[in-house]
Amino acid sequence: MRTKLEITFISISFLLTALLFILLGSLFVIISPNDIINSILSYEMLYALQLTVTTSLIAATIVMIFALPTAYALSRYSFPLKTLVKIILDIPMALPEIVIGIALLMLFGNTLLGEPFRMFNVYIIFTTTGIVVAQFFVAFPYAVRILYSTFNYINPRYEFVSRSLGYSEFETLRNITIPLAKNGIFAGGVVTLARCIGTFAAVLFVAGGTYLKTETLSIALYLNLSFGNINMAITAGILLVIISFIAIFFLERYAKEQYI
Amino acid sequence: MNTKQLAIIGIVTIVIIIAGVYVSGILTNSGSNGQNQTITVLAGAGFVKVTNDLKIEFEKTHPGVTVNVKNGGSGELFGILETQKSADIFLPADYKYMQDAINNGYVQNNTVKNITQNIPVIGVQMGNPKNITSLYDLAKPGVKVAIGDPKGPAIGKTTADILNNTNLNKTVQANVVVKTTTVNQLLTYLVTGQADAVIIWQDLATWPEGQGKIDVIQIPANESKVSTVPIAETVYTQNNNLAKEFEDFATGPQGMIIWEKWGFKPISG
Repeated sequence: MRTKLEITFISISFLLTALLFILLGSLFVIISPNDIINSILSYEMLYALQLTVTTSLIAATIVMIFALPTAYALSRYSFPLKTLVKIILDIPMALPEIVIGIALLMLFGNTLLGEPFRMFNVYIIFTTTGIVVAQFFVAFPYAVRILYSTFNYINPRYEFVSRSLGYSEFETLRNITIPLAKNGIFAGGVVTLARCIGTFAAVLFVAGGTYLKTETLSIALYLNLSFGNINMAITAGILLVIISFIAIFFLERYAKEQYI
Repeated sequence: MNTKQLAIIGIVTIVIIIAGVYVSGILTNSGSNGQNQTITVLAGAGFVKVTNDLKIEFEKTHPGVTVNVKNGGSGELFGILETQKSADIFLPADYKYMQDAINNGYVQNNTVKNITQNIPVIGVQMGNPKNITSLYDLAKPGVKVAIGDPKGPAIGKTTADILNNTNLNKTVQANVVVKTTTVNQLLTYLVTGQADAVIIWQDLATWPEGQGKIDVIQIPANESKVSTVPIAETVYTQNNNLAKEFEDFATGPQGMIIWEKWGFKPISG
């Protein structure tokens, strides 16, 4: 026999789940399956899909490479200004993405960092490189957050024991820390990748959102809405929903809850 | 006891929220009898200064009337007409979009009027550091060009036509770093130095945002394509009289003062 509180709370969960389901489902019923298939197979959509997957994989990989040592340092060592470092790393999560976008546009545009990069023939503004840069800055704080909690869950004692048995720092990291953090690293990777795929405003500002050039899926949605191609816009939305579903599915299945 | 109270509080809260949303919906819909009227204007993004002034002046002379202006790329506005089937006034930046709206039966044909002309020009940074004197210079190596997307804003369509007419399409396209969905973004990119040259409407050069930061190079008439700016009432308007009043105001002497203030020239004859 459930209590009234249980029944109430479970009902609320179901109500909101149903709402979300209807919300996402509405995308699928507005246009005919035929239109969806045609839109997915169009050159523009395939281009956007391929560009999104490529840039996100590159960005997510770079994010993980930098986020692992950052999170480990925050979790294990104490160093000067640590609190400040943590705050600054967390800020982008609370910031609207669009602010990151305009800041990057100003930074890499004609000002501070633009010139030195251009001297080495690295162009960021209005290029596919810019997409990766925007995704990196949006996703990095999330990766650090998740990995930080992961390392916090691992008892440092294991590492001490390993060190006292004569293993080097690097061997300890490889044999003890990384295997124990596997689930958290996986979860961090999935969330990072999902953030990179979904990045919109930052990518629009930095890479310019140009048709068939810097057109990721979220940009394709926005552009086609502006052009009045409702079928293409909704299809781009549907693809993003499907990708998110796959990401969440893997997350629920392979990452233990305690690490998130 | 506690759980019971909590459950009741929970249920009551939900009921109150639902009732509140419901009531507020009724309240906002019931105000449309003469006192608080609204009309919605879909206007090209490049007209944002004009439509702001039109809104202020029209609301002054029509107490109780609210003018909602939605500024966007002309392609986007056409999409709104097509999908949402609402709004009262359609004011795209080029006649082509009006022709499409007429063909699809979105506007009242007898209300279509031409207001002004939109003249495309080349915008460059102040002092013209890249030494651009004509359309042909946009194809020079090392010039970063930003243009409107041919499928989006009116300027994009016009730009595509100009480049096709002058056989510059291939060479200039190689220099295009970005295509935008509104003409206003082009001004921003030029002023912030992300682009060396843009093709924009002449009136934008009079904006404070561009004052003292950009130079304008005229495009000779035989290479250019001047577009006509039309206005019309949509077939979806719920308030024909008010829509007509707004259109008459925007095209009448008072409206013309505003258009000219922002660098547009009225169509003579």
